[in-house]
Amino acid sequence: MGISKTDISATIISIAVTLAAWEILTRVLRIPGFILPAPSAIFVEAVRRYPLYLYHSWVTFYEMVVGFLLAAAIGVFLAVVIVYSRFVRNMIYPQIVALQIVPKVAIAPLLLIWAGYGLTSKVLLALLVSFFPIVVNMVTGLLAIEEELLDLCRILHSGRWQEFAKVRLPNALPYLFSSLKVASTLSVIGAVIGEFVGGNEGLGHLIIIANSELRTSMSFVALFCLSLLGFLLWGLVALAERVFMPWEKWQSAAPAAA
Amino acid sequence: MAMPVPRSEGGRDAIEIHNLTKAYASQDGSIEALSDLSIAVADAEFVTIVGHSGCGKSTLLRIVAGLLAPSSGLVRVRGRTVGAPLSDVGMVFQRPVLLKWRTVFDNVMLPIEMLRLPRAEGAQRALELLRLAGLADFRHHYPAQLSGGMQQRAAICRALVHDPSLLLMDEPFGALDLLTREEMNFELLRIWGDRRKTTLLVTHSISEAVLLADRVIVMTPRPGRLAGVIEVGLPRPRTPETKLDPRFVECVRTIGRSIGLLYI
Repeated sequence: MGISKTDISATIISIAVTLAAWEILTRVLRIPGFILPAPSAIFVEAVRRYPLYLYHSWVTFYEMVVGFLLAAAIGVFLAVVIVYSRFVRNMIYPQIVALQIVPKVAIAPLLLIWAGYGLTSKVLLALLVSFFPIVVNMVTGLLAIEEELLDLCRILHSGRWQEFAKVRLPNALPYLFSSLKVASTLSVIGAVIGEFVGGNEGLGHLIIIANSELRTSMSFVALFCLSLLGFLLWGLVALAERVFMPWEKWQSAAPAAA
Repeated sequence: MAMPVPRSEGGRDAIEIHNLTKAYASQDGSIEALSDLSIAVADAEFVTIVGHSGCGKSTLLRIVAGLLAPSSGLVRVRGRTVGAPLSDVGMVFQRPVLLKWRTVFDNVMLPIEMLRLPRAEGAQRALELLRLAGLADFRHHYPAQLSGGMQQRAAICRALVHDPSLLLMDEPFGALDLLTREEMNFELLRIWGDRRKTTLLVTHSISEAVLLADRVIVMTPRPGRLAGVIEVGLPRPRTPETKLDPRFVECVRTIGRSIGLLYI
């Protein structure tokens, strides 16, 4: 996917126009800062107390990343087990779906009771929120093999392990990475839910404090940091995708004429 | 009982198919895909099978490869009854089904890896085959960078790299456009001329069947039975001029009639 200079400038211009309109409106309409702070006020807040935001961003990012990595590991493992064992599939697939249906916000207080107010409960929430798409996509990817390739494996006496390692697993990579991208953005939500419900660290915690003190610009800086963190993790996954699937860039391009 | 097809002159039979029947269970009882089919293919012989879609041609190839069990009858390959998937077989499908995450060379090496054959020799043979197929310069490319015809050529290299005694091809050029298909026919003849594998190739195209084969087996639709066997008898190597040979035209006509095409 190529990004041209026009694409980038279009994005920058639209952001600049939005910010300018926002700044002007808050000044012209004299909107109080605790209802909607001007972008300049938010910027000042961010610069003035950047160590605070840096620290809490780090905490949230840590929770996100650990939760995300655990979700990836557990998700892939469950998918493999589900694909290879009908018994396990019948046993755990319905439960995984049931778990996904329960709103995570609703079980956050329980998790706090079980795992305490520290980082563990937040990591667990990030994990719970993000592992479902990984399992589902990975199962699909492991099963989406052309019939002929399976015939080929049988002719070549590949055995289960080689069939898995040389055919099924690499075949599932595109599915895995698209689910990891989704999961990376979901993990932010999980971490923040945990921080909302209890604890004394992280950007979610900052937002709760800011709200109770009507320091709206502080909320906005925290929100901005959150979306930045989500972007960062998403970008890392996209980068990993390029590194691990170098062939993929040729997939979208039409092959040379026959 | 169908008459067994007379074996061709000289050489022992590489493939013997005796009274083969295959029925599939379906919602309204069972459907016969193949019925009482008997064929013998000599060593190093190139046999093509033509017939309408659904005449069980693909089923036949899968049974010969040991991928599918027959309902009755038996298949012997080099004197041994087929009961499990045969690694002594190279298989080419209608789609190239290359592994898109492997380069062309690594794709061709797949059988060497899976069958745990010596890597150095395998690599050498892979390179020879790629050279023969005109793909040596593309060996580090990914399949998606190649045209359909090139991908199918790579698939043929993959089918031959472990030096199997049988080459089974299931409409290998069916997905290609006509011009590429013509080209691929001669590519295949060139590669086959070099390696001389016993080859069984299924196709829809009568002229392709005649151009490639020593013998053409014609099958009836549903269930697949033997409709006739035509000795082609055209000299090799075959060239584009072969298609102008009156004997070629006569073969095409005979097959067309036995398949039920009245206009040729």
